[in-house]
Amino acid sequence: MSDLIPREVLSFPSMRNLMRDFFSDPFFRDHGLAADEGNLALDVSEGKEGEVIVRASMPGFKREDIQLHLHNGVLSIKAESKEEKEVKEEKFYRKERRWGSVSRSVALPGNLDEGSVKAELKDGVLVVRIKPSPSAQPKRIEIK
Amino acid sequence: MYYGVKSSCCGPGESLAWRQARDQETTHPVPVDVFENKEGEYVIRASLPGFRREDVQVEFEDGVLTIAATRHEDRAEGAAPTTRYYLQERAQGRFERRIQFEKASGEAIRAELKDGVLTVTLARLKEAQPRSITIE
Repeated sequence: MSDLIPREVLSFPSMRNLMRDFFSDPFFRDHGLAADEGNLALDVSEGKEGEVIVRASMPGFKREDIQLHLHNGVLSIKAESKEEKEVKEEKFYRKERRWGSVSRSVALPGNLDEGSVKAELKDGVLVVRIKPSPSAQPKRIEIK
Repeated sequence: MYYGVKSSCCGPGESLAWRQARDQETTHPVPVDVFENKEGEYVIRASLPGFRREDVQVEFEDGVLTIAATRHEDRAEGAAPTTRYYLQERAQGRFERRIQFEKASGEAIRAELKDGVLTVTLARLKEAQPRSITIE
């Protein structure tokens, strides 16, 4: 019968207070759990005339940090940031941003002209443009 | 967060529509690093890839630093709104982050945006030195 000992039941307001206190606690308040865009977030879209455009979020990376390869329709991005070494001795309160090396490979849609790749890094976004292969265009076949 | 490539690579599907709808309503968080530099100042580094200076707002009030930004790079590039996405992982729309500081002063606040990284520097409030009082 020991489980019949009366105890204070959490009433609705106090439960609400508990939740509020929990989420307003500085430790949880602006926790960066959802602040992560993942390992090298990408957009792949179709531009004019079937051109494929890849956008990669690469904040803090410099041109010379990034290696880009396109082979058999697979685009590989590999980058290593030097920022990490610069701030190694600092005292950290919060560390959410991804540093160091990131890499990602993505299979691109369609038949692409791999010789037409153009890449540009601007404001921390890598933009890669690839034109479709001429052989991907529908060919008119003459009937003899 | 879409990690899978194959599942979302094959043309606009349900998940993309859902994602776009969510992007319009949601405020996305901004990942930050906060550290103390050698001068004893607080340094806040925020990842804001693709943002331009005019898209980013930095405010410091009552010990709370607010970083707010809006991304609409596709519109700026003149792309048609019907752009076909094979993969869309990068969030669009509004981003915001608030960080509370107990001992920071906004007087000498500095902010710089470079290569998609916003760096904000805040001075530390000087703590009152304990004063020893001589008893006469």
